[in-house]
Amino acid sequence: MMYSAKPLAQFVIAFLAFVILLTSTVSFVNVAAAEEKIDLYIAPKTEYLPIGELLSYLLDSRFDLEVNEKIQYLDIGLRKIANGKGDLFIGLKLPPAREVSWNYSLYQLCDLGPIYEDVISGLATPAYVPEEKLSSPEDLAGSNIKARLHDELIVYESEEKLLEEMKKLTRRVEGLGDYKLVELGEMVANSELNRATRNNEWLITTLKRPSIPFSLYDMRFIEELTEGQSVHLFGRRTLVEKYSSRVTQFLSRFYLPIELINELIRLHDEDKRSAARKFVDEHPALVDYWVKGVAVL
Amino acid sequence: MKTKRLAIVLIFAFALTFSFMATPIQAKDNTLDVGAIAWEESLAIADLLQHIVRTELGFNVKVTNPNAGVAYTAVANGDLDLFLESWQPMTQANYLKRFNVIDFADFGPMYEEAKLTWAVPAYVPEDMLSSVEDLAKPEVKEKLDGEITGIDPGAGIMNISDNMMEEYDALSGYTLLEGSGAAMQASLKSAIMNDEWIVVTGWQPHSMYGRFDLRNLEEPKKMLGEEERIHMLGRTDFMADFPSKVSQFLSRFYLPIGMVNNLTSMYSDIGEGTGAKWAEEHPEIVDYWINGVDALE
Repeated sequence: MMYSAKPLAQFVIAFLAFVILLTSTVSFVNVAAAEEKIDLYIAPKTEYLPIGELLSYLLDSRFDLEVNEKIQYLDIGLRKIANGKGDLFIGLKLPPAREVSWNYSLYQLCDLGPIYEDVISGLATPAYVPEEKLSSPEDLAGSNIKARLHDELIVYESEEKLLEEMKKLTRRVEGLGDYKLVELGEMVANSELNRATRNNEWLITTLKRPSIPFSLYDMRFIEELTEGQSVHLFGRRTLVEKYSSRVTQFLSRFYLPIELINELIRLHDEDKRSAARKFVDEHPALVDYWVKGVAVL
Repeated sequence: MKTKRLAIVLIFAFALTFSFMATPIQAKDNTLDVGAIAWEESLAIADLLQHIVRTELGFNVKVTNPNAGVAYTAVANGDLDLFLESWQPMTQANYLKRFNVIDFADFGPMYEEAKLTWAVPAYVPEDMLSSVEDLAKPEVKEKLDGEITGIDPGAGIMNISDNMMEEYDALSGYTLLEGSGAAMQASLKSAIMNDEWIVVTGWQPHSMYGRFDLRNLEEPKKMLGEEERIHMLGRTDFMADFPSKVSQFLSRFYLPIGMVNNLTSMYSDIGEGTGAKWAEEHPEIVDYWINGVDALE
């Protein structure tokens, strides 16, 4: 009996040792993971979500960071970053278009700079409309132009501010008072734009950039209704202390031209899950530069 | 005849007055007013920036050398277009706390990993001397003759180094030598030529890092502070007043610290003209800064 008990005791000891080893390994992995997490807050707007997901995809796939992605309104997102309760925030346009309710010093936040610029809303037309005939709001007063446009100017209904600006414009520019401002929901406006461009018809619409139509159609502004802005990436003040220089340098280099933002928004609209991966596959050289810096140039 | 002559004189006078009135406006529109603190690395970067903006973007650049306090105020008030040396988050904390995020167009970090340092030549074996604590080893102390080579008394790094001499037991019996930046570099050069051991006080970016292969000592008590990031700050309406090719260039302008060291070292040797030479040696980097993603794909 004594002999038969020995292997059992050995088995129990080995089993316990295995359990202890397993437990300690799991807890070690947890600790390591806790040190490699990053909180990314994204303001809830169509153009910010695809960028947030691209950033998240790259932080995860290229830097092994566990990204905790959350939608946060501007005020709350910035406050969390300033208080050190979050790491990154996407969704602040500068200079602000209206008075802001928050007040943070340069010391409280790390402004990683613009991730894209040239954010503008205005009056746009398809590029095939000859520029020598239609390049400014004043040109809209011509009777031939009015006829080509059926006396209609399209306004995206979701953009209240743009509607106001359009009303001001029609009062300011002589001869525009006859135009009818046709307010359309985003989907209907997009489909109207699609129909017009397929038939090479003339059309004038309010449009913001970046947006899906700017990616789908070759459009140009004839009048800018807002001042240009840039969208910045913000980090916690201690970002450099908390993360490796590989990560912070990548974030500093992360910058896209407006055309690629349009493209990213379109990819995201087509398929939210695959947008970031598709974008990375289509722009390997740019991604390589963001990740590795001047070594790849 | 008299009337005709008077008319000619009046027209000429009007034209002259108009041209005087017009010249400053045009000059301002075509000139980028840049503030660079009179530090070697800042002057080197200003020279590079000046060269690229003038030759590639067609703008004049006027560089002045305000101190940090004046520069922050001048950019926030719109009297200066750009300030090149915003050290964040600690070195210029006093100013950072005084100004708000929306007072500037922050182009983000221009380079990172800037810090105050104690350094040794890379040939000093790392297993013998990698940290300030290693200075306690008798064989290390003997190799260094019990000396730490400093710079001008009163410099920020010297004040901190003085405090370190008191705080670290490992530095007991050591002397912090006062001198000047030039004297420190001469001692460093002489030590390297003779394969001797030396510890110097400094900071990076600095031309000595471009000239010699150095290694920074770890400093466990963090008295030298953490790594800093150096941002470029524009006036808040920068993007409205300059074409996007200029702001996009500034947003993409980013260098690894090693290249800033090399640039600084080059500036220390040849002064004005460094930017042109550096740009000629690194056409691919300049191409990306100017043309963005088009230069990559």
